[in-house]
Amino acid sequence: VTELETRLAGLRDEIVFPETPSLEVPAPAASRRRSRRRSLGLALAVVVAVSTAVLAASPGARSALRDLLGIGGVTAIRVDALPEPGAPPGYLPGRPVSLPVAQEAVTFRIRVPAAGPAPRAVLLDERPSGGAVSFVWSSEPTAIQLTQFEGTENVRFAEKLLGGGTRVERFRLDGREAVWIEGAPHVVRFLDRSGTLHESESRVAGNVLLWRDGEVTLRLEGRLTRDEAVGLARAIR
Amino acid sequence: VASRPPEEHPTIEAARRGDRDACARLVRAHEEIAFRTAYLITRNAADAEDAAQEGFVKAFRALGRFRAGSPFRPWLLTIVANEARNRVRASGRRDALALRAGNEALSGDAAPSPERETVARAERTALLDAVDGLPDDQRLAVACRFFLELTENETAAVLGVRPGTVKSRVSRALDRLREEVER
Repeated sequence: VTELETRLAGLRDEIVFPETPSLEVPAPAASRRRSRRRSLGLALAVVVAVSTAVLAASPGARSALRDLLGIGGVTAIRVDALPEPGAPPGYLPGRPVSLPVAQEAVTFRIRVPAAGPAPRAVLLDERPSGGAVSFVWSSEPTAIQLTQFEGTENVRFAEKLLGGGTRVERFRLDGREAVWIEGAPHVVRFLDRSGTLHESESRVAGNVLLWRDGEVTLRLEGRLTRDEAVGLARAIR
Repeated sequence: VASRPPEEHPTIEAARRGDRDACARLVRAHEEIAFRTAYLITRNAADAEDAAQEGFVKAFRALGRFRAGSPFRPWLLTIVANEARNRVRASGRRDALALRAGNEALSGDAAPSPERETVARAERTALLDAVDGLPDDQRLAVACRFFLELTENETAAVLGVRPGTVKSRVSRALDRLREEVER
């Protein structure tokens, strides 16, 4: 260490920094509250949990937060630019199993469609807390698929990154919380139970209906209109 | 303050699970370094507070993506520094770094004579002015390393560059300062 460096280090105790303000303690990802002052700016990446949907936000922040939301273990996040997806469209994490095996492995009761054709495959993903099960009706990437998992505001399963052309609507589906996402494709990314994001499994998604049934969050994706999706969702119990 | 001790990891894990006390502990432990880092970039207390606050909001929101076991501070400072940089362009006024008033100077051995103290003070002021006169990238590197005592890696996180770049910037800055103050 040279003399100059010693002198520089010696300045440290003499520099007058403004007094450190006592900062607000933001809630972690799951149940959040906005900090005071200013909107979030352009690069928004907001996580909002449904159970704490009443946002204690400053007036400035409220407009920025309005169309961002989460449901169960899924959060919808508005971003400036969509990331490059790491997986092809239609990708779903999990290995093919039989329905009884899947039921044995997960912590919740698997909801099944009351009518219609049987799913072509059942995929079990044991990485998320409680497990996740997907039904796939065809091997086409745009085919209808249903994923369900135990999702609460504390257990995050996936993130949806939305660009400007994607619309989000929150509504009640027979009294249950629901979210309809449509328009420009968005990117979905999956998280495991430690909260680690698996970028390599991120992929582009089309229209999606998300809803909550008790402790389970369900996600229906495919080339569907809102009415078609709602109609299918009603039959899944 | 050296880099965080390993006992912080349980706190981070708890915060990740939504434990508010753990979140509060993290904020209290890092708010000063976050604020000062932001201040060195914005040179404006209100903007620095804003940047530090938003930095924590964003960091906590992204906790799920934080790699378990890695140090929290450089990660937080990366986010805070980005927030601070975004605010520099928007604001006009910038404070210069200033030294404490003379009689509050370091307690030392025997009190120096008034003349010696005056000379020493003039030298310190000249050195600080010289730091302030450095090109932006060098000034921030020097300030992080010497005034905030950040490690090379932490400084690299703040500057958004590789640690090797920090080393070379600091080295160039020291050469320049030597010329300035030893003239």
